[in-house]
Amino acid sequence: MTTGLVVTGGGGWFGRSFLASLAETPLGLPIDEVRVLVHHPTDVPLVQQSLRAAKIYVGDVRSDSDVAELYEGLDTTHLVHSAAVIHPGSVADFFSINAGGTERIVRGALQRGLQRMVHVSSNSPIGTNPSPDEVFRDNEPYNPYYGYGASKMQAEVIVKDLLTAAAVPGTIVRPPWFYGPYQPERQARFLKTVRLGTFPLVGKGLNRRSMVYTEHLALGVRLAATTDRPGIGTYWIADSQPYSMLEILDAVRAAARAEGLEVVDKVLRLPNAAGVMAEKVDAALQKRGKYQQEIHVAGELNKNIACSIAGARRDLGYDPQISLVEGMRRSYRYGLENGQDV
Amino acid sequence: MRTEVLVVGSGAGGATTAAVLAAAGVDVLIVEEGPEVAPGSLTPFSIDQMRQQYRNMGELIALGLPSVTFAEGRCVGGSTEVNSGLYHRPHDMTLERWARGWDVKDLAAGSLLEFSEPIERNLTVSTFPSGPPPASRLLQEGAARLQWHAQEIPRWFRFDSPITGVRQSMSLTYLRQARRHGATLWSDTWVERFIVEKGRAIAALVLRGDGTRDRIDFDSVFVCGGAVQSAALLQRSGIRRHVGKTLTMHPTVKAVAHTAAPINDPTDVPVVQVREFYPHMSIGGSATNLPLLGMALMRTRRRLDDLAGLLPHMPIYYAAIRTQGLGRVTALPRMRDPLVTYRITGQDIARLRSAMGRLLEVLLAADTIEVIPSALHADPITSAAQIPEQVAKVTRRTADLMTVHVCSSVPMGEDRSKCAVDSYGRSHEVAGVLVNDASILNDAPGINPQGTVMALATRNAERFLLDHGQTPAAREFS
Ligand SMILES: Cc1cc2nc3c(=O)[nH]c(=O)nc-3n(C[C@H](O)[C@H](O)[C@H](O)COP(=O)(O)OP(=O)(O)OC[C@H]3O[C@@H](n4cnc5c(N)ncnc54)[C@H](O)[C@@H]3O)c2cc1C
Repeated sequence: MTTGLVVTGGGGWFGRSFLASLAETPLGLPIDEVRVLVHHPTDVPLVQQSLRAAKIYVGDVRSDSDVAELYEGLDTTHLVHSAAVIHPGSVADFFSINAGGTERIVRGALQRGLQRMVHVSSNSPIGTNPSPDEVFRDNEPYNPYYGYGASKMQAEVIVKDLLTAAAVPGTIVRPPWFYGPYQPERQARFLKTVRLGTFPLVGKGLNRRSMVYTEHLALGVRLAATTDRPGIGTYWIADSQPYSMLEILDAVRAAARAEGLEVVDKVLRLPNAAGVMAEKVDAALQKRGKYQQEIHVAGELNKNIACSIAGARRDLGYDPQISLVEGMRRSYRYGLENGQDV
Repeated sequence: MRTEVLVVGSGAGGATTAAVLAAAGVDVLIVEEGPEVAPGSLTPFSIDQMRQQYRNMGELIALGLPSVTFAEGRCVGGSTEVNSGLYHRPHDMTLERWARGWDVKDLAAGSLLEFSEPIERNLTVSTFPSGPPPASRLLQEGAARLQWHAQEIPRWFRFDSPITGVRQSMSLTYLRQARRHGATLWSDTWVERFIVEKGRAIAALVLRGDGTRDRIDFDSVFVCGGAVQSAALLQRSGIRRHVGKTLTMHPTVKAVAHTAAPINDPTDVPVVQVREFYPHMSIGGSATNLPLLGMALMRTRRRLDDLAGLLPHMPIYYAAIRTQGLGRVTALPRMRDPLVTYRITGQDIARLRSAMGRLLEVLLAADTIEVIPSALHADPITSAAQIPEQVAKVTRRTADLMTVHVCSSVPMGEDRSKCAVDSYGRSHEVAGVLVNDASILNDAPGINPQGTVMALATRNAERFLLDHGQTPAAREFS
């Protein structure tokens, strides 16, 4: 009898933080091996850095044979599924990877005695709040934000349907905007532009965004993987409060200063219309199957995407502790230690 | 004709004002535009009731993009004779917002409690003796499954069995109290305007039901015609500063739930509300009889055959929002009804969509066979993944909005840059004029307003007595 913890998306921002947390403290489940699916051979050393004991599989969630190999020889499985694309080459990838890939991964696990699953979703299936003083609850109607949102919504629906049919318990976690160690280059760029005053602030900056420090997300997923709650729960996993855009920029600069980095105290202000334009261009591009990361992000900057973590606190005992400034400091440190231009 | 105090309108504000003043010995004449109808003599929500007790058959319109349809009572007792009877105590958060934003004196958190408690007893505010009926429970179940806070809202009801009771409207309570203490009530009497001399209102010109005109001289007048009519009457009388420019409403979107069990009671409304999203939006149940069900489904793609058979299985629910946009009331020369306009902003549209989404979500979470959004070309849905497509059908051009809550056309407070009356309803512009109805609420309260209207009306009427060297009587009826 072999029991495996299968982690997909292991080379990603969340994946590496989660594996690092496992290296520090195992989940406490009766697991024989941790199998990690990564997309690219260059991810292999990164995953090894995070969790030495991991068995690493290079493969694609779009491939039946890659997925079959991932589960080969397992009798029972615990699954943490985080493989997805957020900034893809084309809109079609959203669906084949995020939705189709999820279906393949879950079906594979169900054939291997799936015990419990954690599905890492996103804020995007739920869209944006109408105003800065509203926050999303856990069980909100779907209102997907463009292609990514629609694909992540499909993935959630697939997870719920498959798990319900098989009577396997699971948790869908919805993290909003990430920050923290293991950040990709685009986040390093964010840290740098905010620090040097060239990050575009669209509108007045009073719109609110929830963010999640990656170690908080890892904590939330650990709790979701080990809870004994029956059925399928959906929870926001974020920092304890949403922040206004201005607060976020202030915290990033304060963190940079505390790390002894040069800070230019100014903000590149763009009128709200710029955000509206960007969103329109993004929508038009996505309609034609094209995806452009900078434009997509610019279109989202003046939106309210704020959530309440009351449900995760209540049901999972989730209690995030690290402040925004401290989390951003650790982000700068990670960047500096790993040769990023932050 | 001469009276010490004239009260215009016999609804929640007017009846309360008249009762407080009469009980203290003031000579009060109440004039009411609409007819006197014996309570209980008309079927609730029937065409007959629409004709006799509502203004313009219950179809008034605030023009805009989209327009908002609204309803008002027009009879002795005002809207309280036709309303759902759902009672909320004034919310502290709201009072604090008003005190701060408009500089309203003596409106701290908790300051209205001493008025609310006797009102609750006078109206026998109560919940169903053995729990809410099935159409209410449906909402409760859906909300419980989503972990959203929902609760039974008590009503001004005197229950005579576990499931039936009599709504304690103004004609059964505060108007009776006023008359018992000597107040006179003229029904079918419309106040056209006031005569103002040297900055003081001295008389009202009225049109009686038989077509005759009359003049009523008074020392003071309380304007309690409801948020739209009070603003129009003041404007017709030349009192215009900050009058009619800040109207608020709680526009609603609706959806029909289709259930296997026959849970709809066509003569009553569900009493459970989802409070999770207060103050931005709330979800509750609407009256559902055959014409109303037909109207709710008319523009959808749901086939309408055998509607009569489906009626017991198809209660209608609503989601109401607070808006960012405001409305305007403008009295028009030689026209009896004012022009009402309302501006729905982009944020309001987003909130209406969010409200529709949540409404569909909670109804799907309950035991329903299908849920049909009441929207142009909407399709019946059975799963949460179908919600986005239907919500997208709620647009500026197609949204079908209605409301029964209109407030805030004559805001109160000391801040003269935006208030028409002071903290106790006294006009900043003309002496002898007080406003004491839903008009003086500073903005949309996010709850059913009558409880707040009555508490403020009691407070302001008592203040008037104190100003005139008189002592208010006990607040609770004997
Ligand atoms: C269908 C419906 C359901 C509702 N449900 C609820 C509920 O469940 N809970 C709740 O809290 N609120 C409810 N409301 C709202 C509530 O009834 C009102 O907020 C409240 O009655 C407002 O009180 P008011 O004194 O401002 O106006 P009204 O009660 O409307 O009274 C105004 C009266 O003044 C008369 N009038 C107007 N102009 C003149 C004039 N020039 N001369 C003479 N008379 C005039 C009118 O004919 C009317 O009778 C509902 C309203 C409606 C229409």
